[in-house]
Amino acid sequence: MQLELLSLELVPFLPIYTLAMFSIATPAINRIGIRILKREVSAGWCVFNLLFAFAMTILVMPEYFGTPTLIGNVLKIDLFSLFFTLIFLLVALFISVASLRYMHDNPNQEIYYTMLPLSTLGMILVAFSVDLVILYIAWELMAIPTYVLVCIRKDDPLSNEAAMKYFIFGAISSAILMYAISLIYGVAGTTRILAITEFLSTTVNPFAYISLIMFVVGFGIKIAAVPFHIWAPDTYEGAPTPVSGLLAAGSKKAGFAAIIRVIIIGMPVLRVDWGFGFVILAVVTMTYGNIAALMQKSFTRLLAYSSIAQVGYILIGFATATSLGISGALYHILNHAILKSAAFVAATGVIMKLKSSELESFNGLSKQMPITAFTLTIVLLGLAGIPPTNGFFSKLILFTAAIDAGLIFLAVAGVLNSAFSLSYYAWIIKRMYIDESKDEFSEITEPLSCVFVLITASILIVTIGLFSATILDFIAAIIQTL
Amino acid sequence: MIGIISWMFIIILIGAVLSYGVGKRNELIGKSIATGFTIVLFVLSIYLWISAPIGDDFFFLENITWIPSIGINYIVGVDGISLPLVLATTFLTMLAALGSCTMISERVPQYFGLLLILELGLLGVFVSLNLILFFIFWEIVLIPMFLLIGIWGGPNRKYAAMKFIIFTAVGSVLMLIGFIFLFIAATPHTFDFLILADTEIARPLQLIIMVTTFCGFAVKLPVAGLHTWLPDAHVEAPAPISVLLAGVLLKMGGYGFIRINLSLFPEISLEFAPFFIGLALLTIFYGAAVALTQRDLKRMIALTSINHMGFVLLGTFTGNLVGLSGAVFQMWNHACAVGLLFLLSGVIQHNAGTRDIDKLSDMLRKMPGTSALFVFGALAAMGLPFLSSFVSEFMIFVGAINAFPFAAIVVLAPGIVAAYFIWTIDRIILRPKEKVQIEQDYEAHEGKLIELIAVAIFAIPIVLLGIFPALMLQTIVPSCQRLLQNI
Repeated sequence: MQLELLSLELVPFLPIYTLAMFSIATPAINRIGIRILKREVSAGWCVFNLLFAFAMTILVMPEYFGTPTLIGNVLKIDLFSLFFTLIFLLVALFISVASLRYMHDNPNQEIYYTMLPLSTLGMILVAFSVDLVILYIAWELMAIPTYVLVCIRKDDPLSNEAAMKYFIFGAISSAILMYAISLIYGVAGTTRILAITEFLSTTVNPFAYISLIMFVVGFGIKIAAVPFHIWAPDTYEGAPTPVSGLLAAGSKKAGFAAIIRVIIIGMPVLRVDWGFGFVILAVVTMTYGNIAALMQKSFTRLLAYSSIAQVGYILIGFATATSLGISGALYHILNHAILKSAAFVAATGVIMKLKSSELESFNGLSKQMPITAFTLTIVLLGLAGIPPTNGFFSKLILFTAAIDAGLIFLAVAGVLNSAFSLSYYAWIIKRMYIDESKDEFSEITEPLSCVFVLITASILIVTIGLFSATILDFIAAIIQTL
Repeated sequence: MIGIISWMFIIILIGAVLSYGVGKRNELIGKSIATGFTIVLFVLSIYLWISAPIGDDFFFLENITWIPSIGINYIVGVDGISLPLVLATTFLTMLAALGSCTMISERVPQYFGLLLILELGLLGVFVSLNLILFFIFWEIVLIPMFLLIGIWGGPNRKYAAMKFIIFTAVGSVLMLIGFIFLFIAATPHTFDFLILADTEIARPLQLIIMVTTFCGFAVKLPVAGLHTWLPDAHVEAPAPISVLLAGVLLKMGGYGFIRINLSLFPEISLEFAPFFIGLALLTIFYGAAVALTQRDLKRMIALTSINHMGFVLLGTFTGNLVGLSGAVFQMWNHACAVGLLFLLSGVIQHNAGTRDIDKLSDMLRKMPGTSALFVFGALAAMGLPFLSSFVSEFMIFVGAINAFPFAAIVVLAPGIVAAYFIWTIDRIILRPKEKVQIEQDYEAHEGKLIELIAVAIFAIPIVLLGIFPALMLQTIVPSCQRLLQNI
């Protein structure tokens, strides 16, 4: 009996379990590896670790179609969490492969490759948790390794400043979340989201509203919604570029997973209140992000603001709170994760070779780094939502959902922003293909690891767009079991 | 199980990849492959035209389920309204590719690859029978055109390219909003054109849809006021691309007005017809009057396009068969006439070194072949009898005066067009060199034979359809009739 229970609880855990074990083992593996292979092995081990978890997740996936499994009432394995698991692992894989070259000369490599999968594990657990205490622990597991990752270049003052800023805002976010959790616990007497939902449907308590606001602010800082975004551009610029990619494409998405679990599913009674809040956040976030992005001179900062704008589009889905809106949001979360991580990988390649992230250095890139320029073009078109890339289809669903829900001005703001954003994405394409570079023409060997990731991402961007039907069916299944 | 239209798409894609791949090794073979593919596509579209039964329905229909949950399906087909435009696309792309062989000398493989992708987008717009498919192709046109203007254009090309993309992008996303409204109005929710055509839409909703789609189509057409991207884009684009820009891209707007406005929400469109007619008259006279003042030959032709597209708008909203068929026919005629003139302006630029009307002179002696073709093109643009645009403009006059007597004023417009073309001919072709006031040293010589042949091919349909307009009208009229029956 005991044994049977144990095995039942272990099997669903397996991807998470291996991820945790393998990550913790990284320094030891690295030590042994150096003895035997006479070279750093932490990077390879990290990639293997993530790939293994990815494969495992896909293998266990068919078991959860239709039947969510609760583990100890705190973790829920359903298609929703598996969907996010796949996103996080994909992003982490992209980032770790792209870092192979970037981190090559860094003395703290094994720390980097330990922290990367551990943070990914934290994100995955956020998506799994249906209990606020576990959610908080997962949240911290996600955040603390990223603090280390951001300041991995210890002797770079810019990196340290970025880390300081990120840490302070991260700590504030966690503190506010803690407060929100304690308030809702004080009101409902439980930390289980399901029980809280039941409690709120019968009782009206003003403290529930305060708690809701605090949840929005706490999660809002992590997803960098305006006005909680101020840490993002500086951090993305100062942090090592692949780590910025992880923050923008990974931990941000964990914030969305938490919002869906806690607010959208957990507090349907307060729908009117948070619905209105998300409408305002969505409009302000996307408009501000786009206008600010237009004025940037550095590519990483531009990506930071563009990522803020994309958060605004995702929030449109939350604002509608219809199943169409949520499916659009989930689809856009997937697309944005791929697009943004690919964009940061391209930035990594350019920064590594040209030693500058200024937009000026993109002039004439199509001649110096043709593959990077071409794939980056696809990525930028995806971010702008030009068909037939995946970004178009998810935005289409989001805007359709907004109009369907009667939020017409939100859809109009969305499409205008989308057209507006094309101007700065097209500006970069113009720099790469139309402008001439100032320097003498020089052939640059493109970093293989980045190129590999970029080509994979480009193929994904187009195929996901063309096979939207499959993805949408899957997302429909997710929403049914949510 | 895929039909001829899908095969055309596949052939274009193969052509784009092949000509780019081979062109990187050997530019000449790359060029030839691209040109060969455009010829194959033209032959296919001729086949499409000949084998299309004269009837009132869509033919070569293909229906493949794509994303059923949000009503997006791959549905393509042609009827008498889209067929002339499909023909114009392949015909003009073929001649543009021929013309490019001598005019384009740098980054050749990319150029021809993008040219074919552009053709894919243009063709797709005219055959799509699902609004999102339509929109996808509509947007696919944007990026190659942006790069073609931006990389191979004139001195002010960067500005022109950015202006082009921002104007059209804003227009097209607003159009997308209109499409989403249509999607929500239909039960079951769908973007399929044929289902939407049978759907009753509430009046206030129709109004919103009309306003939003107007933004997309009016920028592309363009109507006066929203046209400012056009002269810049046309002047800066390389001549073969101007041919496609004026000859086919603008037709996307005209086609949209007919296909979406008139077919899907005819009541409100015709209710607002006086507004559209007024706008059309404004566009016609504005284009003609501004063209009168131009010094740049290409800019003048670009503004002639605005004038001609005003006729299309005028014919579309007359709401009667003569006017509507005239509008569709006018789109084809304008494609040929203005394509000829734009390509010729490229030949003049290439061989005389300038397009400035004040500097050019005495072309009659230096470039006799070019001069002859220019006079022919000018006559075609003016709408001389026995040349095809006469027929279509006449039909539009008849339709417009029938529907709105005040529109009779439009018959003055060809007078202005004739005036500035004859004046231009007088200056650039007949004026002896001594009379030119500006100090200059330009060496003009006759264009290359392949260039002149490419230009002269445009003359064939202009003359042929001028004498036998029924050849084209017999496909156009039944479809227009069916469209108007539903109103």
